[in-house]
Amino acid sequence: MNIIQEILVGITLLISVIYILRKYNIIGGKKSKCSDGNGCGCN
Amino acid sequence: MYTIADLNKGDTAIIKDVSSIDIPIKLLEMGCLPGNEIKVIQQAPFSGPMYINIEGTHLAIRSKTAKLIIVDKLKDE
Amino acid sequence: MSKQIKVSLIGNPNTGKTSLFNALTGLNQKVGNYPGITVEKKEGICKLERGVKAHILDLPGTYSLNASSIDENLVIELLLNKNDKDFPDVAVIVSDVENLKRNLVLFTQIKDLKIPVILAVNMADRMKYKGISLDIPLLEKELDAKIILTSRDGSLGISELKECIVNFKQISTKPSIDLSLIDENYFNSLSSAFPNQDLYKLWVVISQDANFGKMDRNSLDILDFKTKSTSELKRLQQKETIKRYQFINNALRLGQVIDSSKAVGYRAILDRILTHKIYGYLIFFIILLAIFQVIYDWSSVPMDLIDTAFADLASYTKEVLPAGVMTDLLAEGIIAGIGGIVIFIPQIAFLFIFISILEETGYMSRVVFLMDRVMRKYGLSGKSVVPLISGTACAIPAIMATRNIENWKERLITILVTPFTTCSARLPVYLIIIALVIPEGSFLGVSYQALTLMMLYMLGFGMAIFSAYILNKILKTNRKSFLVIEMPNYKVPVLRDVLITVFEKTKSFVLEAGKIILAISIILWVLASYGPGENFNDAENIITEKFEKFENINIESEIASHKLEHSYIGIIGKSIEPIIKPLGYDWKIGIGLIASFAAREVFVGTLATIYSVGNTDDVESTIKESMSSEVYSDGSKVFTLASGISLLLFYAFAMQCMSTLAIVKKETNSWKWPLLQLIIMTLIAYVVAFISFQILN
Repeated sequence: MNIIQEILVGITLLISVIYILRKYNIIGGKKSKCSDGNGCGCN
Repeated sequence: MYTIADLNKGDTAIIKDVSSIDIPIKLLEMGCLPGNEIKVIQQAPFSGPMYINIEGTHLAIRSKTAKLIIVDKLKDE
Repeated sequence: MSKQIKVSLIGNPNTGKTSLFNALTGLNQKVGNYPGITVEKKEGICKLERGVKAHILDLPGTYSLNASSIDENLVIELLLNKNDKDFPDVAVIVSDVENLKRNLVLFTQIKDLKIPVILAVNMADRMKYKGISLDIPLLEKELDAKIILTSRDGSLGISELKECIVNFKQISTKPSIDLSLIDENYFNSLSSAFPNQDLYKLWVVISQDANFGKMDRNSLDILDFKTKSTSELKRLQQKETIKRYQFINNALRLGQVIDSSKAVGYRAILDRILTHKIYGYLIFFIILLAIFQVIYDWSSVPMDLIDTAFADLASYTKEVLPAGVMTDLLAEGIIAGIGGIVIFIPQIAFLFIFISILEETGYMSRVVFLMDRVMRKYGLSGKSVVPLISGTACAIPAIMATRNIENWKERLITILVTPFTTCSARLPVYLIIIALVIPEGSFLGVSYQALTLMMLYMLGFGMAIFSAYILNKILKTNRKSFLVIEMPNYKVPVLRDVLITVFEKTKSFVLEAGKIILAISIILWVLASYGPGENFNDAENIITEKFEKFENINIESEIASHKLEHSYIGIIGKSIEPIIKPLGYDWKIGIGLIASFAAREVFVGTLATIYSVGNTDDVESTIKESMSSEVYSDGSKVFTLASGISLLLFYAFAMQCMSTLAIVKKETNSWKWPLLQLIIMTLIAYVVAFISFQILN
């Protein structure tokens, strides 16, 4: 049971870290912010 | 040459010339055109914006812009 | 399968366009973002007849196709680009029955773009109070368009409007004015140079350059066609405007009758008082004070309820779920984190209710009028007032509110200084430190504690204004700044619209700030609950050994305290201790400071954990007691007047809110500004806190 809990914590942590990094554009993501096809202002 | 900036609260005038290119086109589109009547409703203190009524459109403009619009002042009643 | 007709709602500001949008879409609306720029995209679905739906886009209010701000620019970009997926099948031009003449300028421009248009004459229920009567069939003939009378609350004209939309294909797209009459040579050569392009559309693209700087010209490559100078282009624009008014005046002369003797209005009287040179300002400040007073009084009840609810939820979670680290994370990290966000909703919602009411009544324009002169001295605009006031709830929606400021520099300065105003999140920190270190007693009937709080608020505003002043001197711009703001007629706000606005703004706070706060809360919890090496992992043994010979020691709390000290966050706290010692803080406060980067209010919660962790008796001591009894190894207190004031000042100036930084980056489209904000504000905070501690100590 403890292992499961530890793993869950690890996953939650990972998600949080990735979220923050993506929010500040430090890493990219699968979902691009631009849904408009004509090239967008993502500087 | 009289401009809106020279008018006082309560004055009425007819707009004469808005050809200065520093006048934002937005103003003209809001009705600030030669021949239209303008009334001064209020003047904010320390040469702040002027609250004016042009043919029913009520708006506020800064004194810098007001200085560019030339008018014919109408006689007070 | 249902078809979707693409409808754009366009119109001057203050025409009740959004009310119409709300009436058509109800709650089937959502607010998002346009890619690449920071204007809000408001869209919704409206059910028409026979399974047909309309996708309605509520575009930012604009006076004409000549843009003077980024949100106005958006409208033009959309209307000029047939390939845009939101390009409308039909445009509903919303006008205000009292200002029909002016509203029709935009109407004729859009009609000239050959987009099918429907004219909605809104606020038609007020016609008789203004002595206005309209001959609709005649106007429809003169303007060559379908006209529908509507009212803000949706009681008039909605079903006719829907019917019109369904039949959009029958709408005529004949242009209103003949461009060649403005300057025959120019326009003839233009149309022969680009025979495949619509003439008016070409003209709009060319003349944009004269007004607002860059505009994306997409597929129209006419940069070479520059046979006119900027000033000549402007003159042509003026002529075009005059022509439009001629057309409009002709139509209205036939179809509209205004009998001013029948007009009933309070505008003149209200304006005389509210824009009075002295009373106008007095009234504004009284209104402000009243709003703040009410907000703090009213929000304390729901805040307490939320606080208790989340605390209960956390303990319930611990009871019900199997014991373990994930359960702890859930209770102490996640639930506590979410609770920390939710607890601010009452305050923020109330503030926005008031601001929204002030805007809907039309009073805000008068405030802009009153405050513009003062604001200009500091490089701000009269329109900066709303963001600055909103900043006392939360900087995030406040910064978003700067989008209607025309001048780039004024807008940027507003964005950069708004975080100095005392936001809701700083309040819990202020309150607990004040309660801890400010002595009892009062001055002229006001307690020292209340005075301190008031001074902190004034400090926030003062600093905002002062830094605006500095920034104004440093930043250079070659764009002229102008202010043209309409003073709409006073109106009774429509409750539904106020509520929808508040809902949207509060939602943006919860989602934008909330997700970041939650993520960081989780990370911090993990950092505080795990540590490297033996010191942490063997804590139980180490402590048990250490205190073997002692009695009257609470082993549990000693273990917890030791663990905290050697956890990751404890190590970080200790490593920055040398830097913060001169400010009067110890490593525990240091942990609190770091945690505050998630959200300032986290400071109090973190300290609660740290200090109660060290003091887990059976008798629960309040946070305040725990903190006030906290001493250094030499016995001297950690929280003294000196360190307290130093801490207060640090929080007043430091830029700690990650969420705000994210929004600033989004709104300014670069990393430069938020980074500068972070560095400079934190530096100021450090220096001021340092000086104050050293002096008072």
